[in-house]
Amino acid sequence: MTITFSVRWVKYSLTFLVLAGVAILMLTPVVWILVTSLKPEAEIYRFPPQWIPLQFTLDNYKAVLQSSMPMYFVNSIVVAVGTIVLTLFIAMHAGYAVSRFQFRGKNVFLFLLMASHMMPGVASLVPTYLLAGKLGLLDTYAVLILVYSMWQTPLVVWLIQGFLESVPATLDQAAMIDGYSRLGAFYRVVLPLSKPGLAASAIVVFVYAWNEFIMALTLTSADNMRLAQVGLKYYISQYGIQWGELAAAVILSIVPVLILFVLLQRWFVYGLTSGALKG
Amino acid sequence: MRRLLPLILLATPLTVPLAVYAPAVSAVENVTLTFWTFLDPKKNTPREKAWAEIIQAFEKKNPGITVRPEVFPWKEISPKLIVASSAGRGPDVTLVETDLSEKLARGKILEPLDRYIAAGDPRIRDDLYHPETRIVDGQTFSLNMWTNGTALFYRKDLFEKAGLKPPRTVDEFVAAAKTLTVDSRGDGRIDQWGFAEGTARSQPFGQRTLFPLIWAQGGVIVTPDGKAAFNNPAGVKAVQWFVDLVKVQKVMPPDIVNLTYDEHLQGFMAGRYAMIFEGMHRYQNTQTSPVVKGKVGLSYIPSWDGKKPSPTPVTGWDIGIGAYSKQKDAAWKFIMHALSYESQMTNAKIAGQVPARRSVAKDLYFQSADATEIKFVLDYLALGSQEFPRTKNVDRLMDLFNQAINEVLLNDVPVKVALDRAAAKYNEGI
Repeated sequence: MTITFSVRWVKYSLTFLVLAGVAILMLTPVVWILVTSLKPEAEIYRFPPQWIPLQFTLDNYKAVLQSSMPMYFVNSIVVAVGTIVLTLFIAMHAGYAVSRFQFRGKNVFLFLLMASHMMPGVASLVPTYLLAGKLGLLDTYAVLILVYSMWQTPLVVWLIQGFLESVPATLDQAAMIDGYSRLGAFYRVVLPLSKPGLAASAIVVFVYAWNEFIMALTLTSADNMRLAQVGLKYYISQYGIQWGELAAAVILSIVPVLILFVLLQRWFVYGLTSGALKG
Repeated sequence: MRRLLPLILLATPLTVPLAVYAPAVSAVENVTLTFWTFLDPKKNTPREKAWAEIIQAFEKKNPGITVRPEVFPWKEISPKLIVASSAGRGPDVTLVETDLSEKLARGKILEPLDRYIAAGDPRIRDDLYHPETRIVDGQTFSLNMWTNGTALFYRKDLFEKAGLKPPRTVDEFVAAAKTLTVDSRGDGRIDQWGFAEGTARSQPFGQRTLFPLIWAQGGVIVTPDGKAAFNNPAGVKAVQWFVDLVKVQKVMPPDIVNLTYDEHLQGFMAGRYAMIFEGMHRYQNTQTSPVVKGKVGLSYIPSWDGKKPSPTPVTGWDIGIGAYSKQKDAAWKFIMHALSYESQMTNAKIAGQVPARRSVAKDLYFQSADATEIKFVLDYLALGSQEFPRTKNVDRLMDLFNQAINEVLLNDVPVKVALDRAAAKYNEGI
């Protein structure tokens, strides 16, 4: 009994130590950025650098909030939410179709879908820019939402399809026997059961849209259309880097992702794992 | 009609050239010019304020023309120009990184300016520093907007404390660097290095230290036909000297292989390095660091014999017209305004920018105490300067050159072998 307990205790301790080590490794740069964002200029340049500054200041946050960054954050939120809505709308229907229907070339279709997602974004930069220009969509939310959705839909179709396959098809059939149409069964029975999968997909899409840089830079030029990730780059100028403000802006840019993750964390973990146990 | 014929014949030679150059001089009204820049006139730094004033003055002089600045991070302007031009679009006027101007010209991204220059003020080209580097295949595609010289930034306080004078030769430089390399806590770890220059692959800048030392020996970086030639004896001598700063003299940290352009300046501002070679446009930024504020001295880049300093590498920004601009006449007007005496003085007085035109540099303002740093650069330019080479792929050239240095530092490859390999690789690529 004692030996079993000791072995288990050692196992848990080891697991805890490894996980804590990895977590510290991942969190150290974030903590360092947080500390830098709270340092006055004099502290930032102190060598050797100090983990705990002698003086704390919120001046860097004030400067960021008084700049155009809040507008860039709003733009990023609009684009990210728009991308989630469009991507999920397309992907949930496509995912339902491939999870419920057998049709010729289904596997090839799914393979091609994923293959298209693997093409590096930069390869389509010029055609996308040309097309957006011809359609008069440059410098609009619409172009970014469309492009980001185009990139994320294949991945999300796969994610949702995996999840929907874990929802028994008999439920759809039962709903249809009760008088629902195919779409009615999907919307009223299958979709409510798929919330964890949708939440997981929403986080994946949000993080992508929030962090994307090259398309946002290329497809927008006007200041009032700039996204947060592009805005961050302005703190790195040819004359030097404004470390304090950059660190404050980075911390502020992490907040929305963090909030979304905290809110949807339970569903995110469930959504990602449930698809793996289908059948 | 017969009476009119001689008049018509007489008038023809006069009207044809006028017609040809008409676009350059015609009046332009109700036009909005898109101007790609990395300086946001809405912001409050001196350089940005200067641009706001220049644009305001232009709009006042030209009531029909509005300038709409579109601001991008400085490193992103060239890639964005390439993408936009591939799609047949682009700005009316753009700032152009001097090092990349040839690449952009060859890519038909910039409009040739020769006919505008000929119809306007043909002397303007020769009024700039290094006008020859603006000519690609016989045409001029951009004009220098402002000049940045490079200098030795050194810690005046540390020099005074150690009884040192700014070095004039590379030997004096090494001696000073040795004195200023200090393990102040006595724990076997160096807290302050005499010198540093980064060769990290993400932002390599070894060329800033080494090209002047190659030029000072009469060596070249590229041949006139665009081939890499930095593996010549002058290049080998300079790189060997640089590598010895790490391996033999131990005055430069070995981690320069991971040190970037930005980190190198931050290290100096944090007091980690006692000397660096740096662009003069970054001098003001050093004064934001409480560690080195008021303690930064400027000196010329030392030479091998001390008779004359090594030439200062000149960088900066050009200004040009986008090849797909539909308002090239108005764009040219704006360029002429930006390069005017008045605008160059605005840029100098507000932003501390070194004027790009020699005639402007003669203004008495540059002899005044307000312009000490600009005068330093102007004096250095008068002693000798060179621009970084213009080649088909300048980024690749710099990358391979710095990689060769890293190979010597990390793998003990002989300098000549590493440089030969790098030059061969570049030449194969072109």
